[in-house]
Amino acid sequence: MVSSVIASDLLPMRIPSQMLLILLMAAALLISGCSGAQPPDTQGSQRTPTAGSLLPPVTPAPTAMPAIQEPRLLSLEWPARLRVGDSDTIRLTLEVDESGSITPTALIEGHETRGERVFIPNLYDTHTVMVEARLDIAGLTYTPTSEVIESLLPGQSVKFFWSVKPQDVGRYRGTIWLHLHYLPKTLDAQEVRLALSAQLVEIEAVNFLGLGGGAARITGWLGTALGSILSLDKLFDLAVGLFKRQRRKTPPQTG
Amino acid sequence: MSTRRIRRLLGVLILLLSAAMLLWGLWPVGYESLSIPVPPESLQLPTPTTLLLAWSVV
Repeated sequence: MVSSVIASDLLPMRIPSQMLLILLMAAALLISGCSGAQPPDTQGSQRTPTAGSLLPPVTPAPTAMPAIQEPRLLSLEWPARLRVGDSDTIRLTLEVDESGSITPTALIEGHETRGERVFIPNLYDTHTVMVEARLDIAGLTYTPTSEVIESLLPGQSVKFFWSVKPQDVGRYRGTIWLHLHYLPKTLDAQEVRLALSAQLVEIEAVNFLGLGGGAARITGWLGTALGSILSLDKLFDLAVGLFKRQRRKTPPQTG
Repeated sequence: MSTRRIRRLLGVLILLLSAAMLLWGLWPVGYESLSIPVPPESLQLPTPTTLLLAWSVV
């Protein structure tokens, strides 16, 4: 009852729409001002700084260490299943990633600024980069067993091959190690060896009725020939006829 | 059962088994492949950060 009376009293006092808009804008400004007074976020949430206002004072970028300025792609290919006695290859390639792009990045007092050109000394100018690869698999015959070393040249791929041959049925797990060896071109610097990657490979060696790959193929070919002769009448008669004719041609030896 | 019939049956059995062996022996093995992008940061020399911090503390 009371509320209806108040509402009826207020109805004639209509607030103009422009005034209402101004009031709303003022309220929005007030709210945004209060939120700006909140304590700074120390959790490291990502914020996009606006130009000029939030950027920290620019300080000189730290001296970057020499680096290889090309993204690379490590490709590994191995046979998941192998027949016992058969050999196959494991291939490892460290190729230049054509799709990869380098965005020069500078870190200035904890704020990341992208798009600035940063001078990074080329590692190829100061060092000779060698790639060392090694395969470790227990229970499997493979070559080479020692480390394989290739030099990494700018814009060129490096490939490694291992030949593997299982002797028994089983599941073999191994690791392919890849190290980078930085040999300085100057005498005062020290050589550095870094582990780049360690990839796990798993190869399953299988057989068929106890036969390996080679034995199964030989038995298969012989069995196909024998089975064809036995099951096809004409072929069987032909084989028997040929055998008899051959015996007739050879004269009996007289003692 | 005549001799010819037994021979045919034996021939077909040997043929089937041999075909299975051949198929298994000649079937191409499946390869698994893996591609991992290596960023330039992984290829650069390590920065001696610890050494610099120790100097700044002293």
